[in-house]
Amino acid sequence: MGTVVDLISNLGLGLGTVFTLTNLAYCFLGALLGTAIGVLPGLGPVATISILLPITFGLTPEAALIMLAGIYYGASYGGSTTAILVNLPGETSSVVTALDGYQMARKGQAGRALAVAAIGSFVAGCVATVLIAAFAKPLATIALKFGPPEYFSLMVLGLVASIVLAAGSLFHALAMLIAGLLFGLVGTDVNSGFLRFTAGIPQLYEGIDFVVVAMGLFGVSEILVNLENEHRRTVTQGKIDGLMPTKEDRKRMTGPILRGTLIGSILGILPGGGTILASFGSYAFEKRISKHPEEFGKGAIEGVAGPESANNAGAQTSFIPMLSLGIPSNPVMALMMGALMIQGIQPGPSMIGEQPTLFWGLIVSMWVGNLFLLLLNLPLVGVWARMVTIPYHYLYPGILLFCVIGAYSLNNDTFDVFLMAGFGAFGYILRKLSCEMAPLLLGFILGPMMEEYLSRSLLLSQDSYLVFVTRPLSLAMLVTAVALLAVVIAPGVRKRRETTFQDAG
Amino acid sequence: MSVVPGFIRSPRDLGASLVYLVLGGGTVLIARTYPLESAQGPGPGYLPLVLGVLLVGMGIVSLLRSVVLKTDSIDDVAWRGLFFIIAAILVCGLSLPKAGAVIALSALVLISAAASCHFRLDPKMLLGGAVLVGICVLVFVVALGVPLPLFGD
Repeated sequence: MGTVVDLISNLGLGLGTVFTLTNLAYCFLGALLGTAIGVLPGLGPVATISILLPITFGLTPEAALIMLAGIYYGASYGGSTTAILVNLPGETSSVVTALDGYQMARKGQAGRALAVAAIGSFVAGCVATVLIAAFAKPLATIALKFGPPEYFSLMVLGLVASIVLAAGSLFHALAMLIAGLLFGLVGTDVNSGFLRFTAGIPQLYEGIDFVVVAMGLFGVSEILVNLENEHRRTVTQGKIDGLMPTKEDRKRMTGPILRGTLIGSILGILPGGGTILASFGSYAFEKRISKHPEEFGKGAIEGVAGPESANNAGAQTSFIPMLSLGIPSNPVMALMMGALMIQGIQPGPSMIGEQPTLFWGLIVSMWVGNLFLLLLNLPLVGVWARMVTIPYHYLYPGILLFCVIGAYSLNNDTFDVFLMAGFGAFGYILRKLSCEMAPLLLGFILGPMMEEYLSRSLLLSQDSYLVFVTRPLSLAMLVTAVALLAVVIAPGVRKRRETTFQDAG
Repeated sequence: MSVVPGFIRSPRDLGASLVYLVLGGGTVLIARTYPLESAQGPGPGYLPLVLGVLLVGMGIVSLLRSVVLKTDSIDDVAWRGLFFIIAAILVCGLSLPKAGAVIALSALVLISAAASCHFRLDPKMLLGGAVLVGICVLVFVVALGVPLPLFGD
């Protein structure tokens, strides 16, 4: 009983934090900006947040995080809008929405598809927010008992999960992970003060700035990818008819929305491509249990409702590991962490206790933000439809401008700009080689942390590596990691995994 | 990519192996010079060395995979885009301190726009570029206070 009262009073604290004029404004601004930029072809949530991250430096931590979170789910929704209207997924998890959503649009049912996506996302967002409120604190309490060995094993589990859940080849995902770890090691070694891989360049003494890597790998390389088939890209648009779902629609979409929310909530917590796997998983599941599986791919409303809910639920629950444990489960969370750390806040188990206004304010803002999204998008659909048709060659110089200014503003140094160019080219090469970049980014962030925890663990145990298996929590996590690997390498599962990702083209 | 010899059935793995070998090999060469042992256990060179060796190993495996496995070929590399975009960023970064933000950012817009096959050097394009740079200066320098030197030294 006590915990429920606690929960209510905490939510009250959150409400108080959010319902100030400034924070509400930033929440709204975030959702609006996020959707607007997410609608634009070629900019997914990671690129959008990377670009807008420097803007948040001057804000209070609450406002910054609230706005960034708003941008995140706004961009997710914007990406779905593009996917439905013009079959151009704004981000990877929208690929699934495009499957049936675009078909619905072609039949003149774009309005219904968009409405279903909005409603599904809203419901999922509300449920996920409650889950975060309920689970984040207990999780953090457990985590407070973590010592260095537990943290190390947890990160190992996280990295293994990110390879396992990556879309492409396991082998290359692993290589990307190692590459990411190596990039993360550039700079001053925490344990010894020794300078590694800096080649006498002072700007590298603190390591490579994470935002630079994110903007280069995801933002700049995205532009390069989009410049490939310029002449071939045609933007045809479905007409937007009746906006409201029919009664029959409402019956058909309830199940998928609830199931999608559940699937998304669980998968969002796992490190790796949480939202991508969530939407794929929901689609495959709905198709399997549907009484009319042949409709999927031709405009089945379940094919939009389920994945969209899963997507949004996963996006919200992926905050849990970041906030409670200080471990980012995907690149977006890594960016959020970066934003927090720049504000001087260390995400982790003690954060909930030390920064309750920030934590609970963020939780409540998610609900408010989802509401804003719902209210924003239904009337503004016409505007988004028009924005989607802006030719890309007008857009990308602007995107590049934002990236360059953003990179420069990190340290007022053009070195970061050059570094971003380098990572942009590198990211493009990797994309052409079909190498997954998410493991690279995660390895980059977790690598230095892992090394530090490894050292501290060995210090604790007097140089005995047994410490990782003699402590129960640590052992449990390592065993899970091994099990995950085994499950995914097993032939049956491997085949299924490949076909699932192939289904969506 | 028609430069790839016929017995390579997976150009992707070939390309990837090059990346891994270069990255891993470079790491090994450098990390070897770092102290591998320290008073408290592994030295700063230990982890990089291990990772570098692993990556080199994976590079070799990838090389083998390129002959054994069959994957789709790599198509549509945007060479023109790659050149212009990277050049644009580099020129912008190099000219920023001396020539100032207005010129550097304008160069960025101009050169990067040239990457597109729709690029035409006409008044409409120049006007659009000027507006874009103007908006960025207003938003970032004036409103948000980013210390970009507007006109250089």
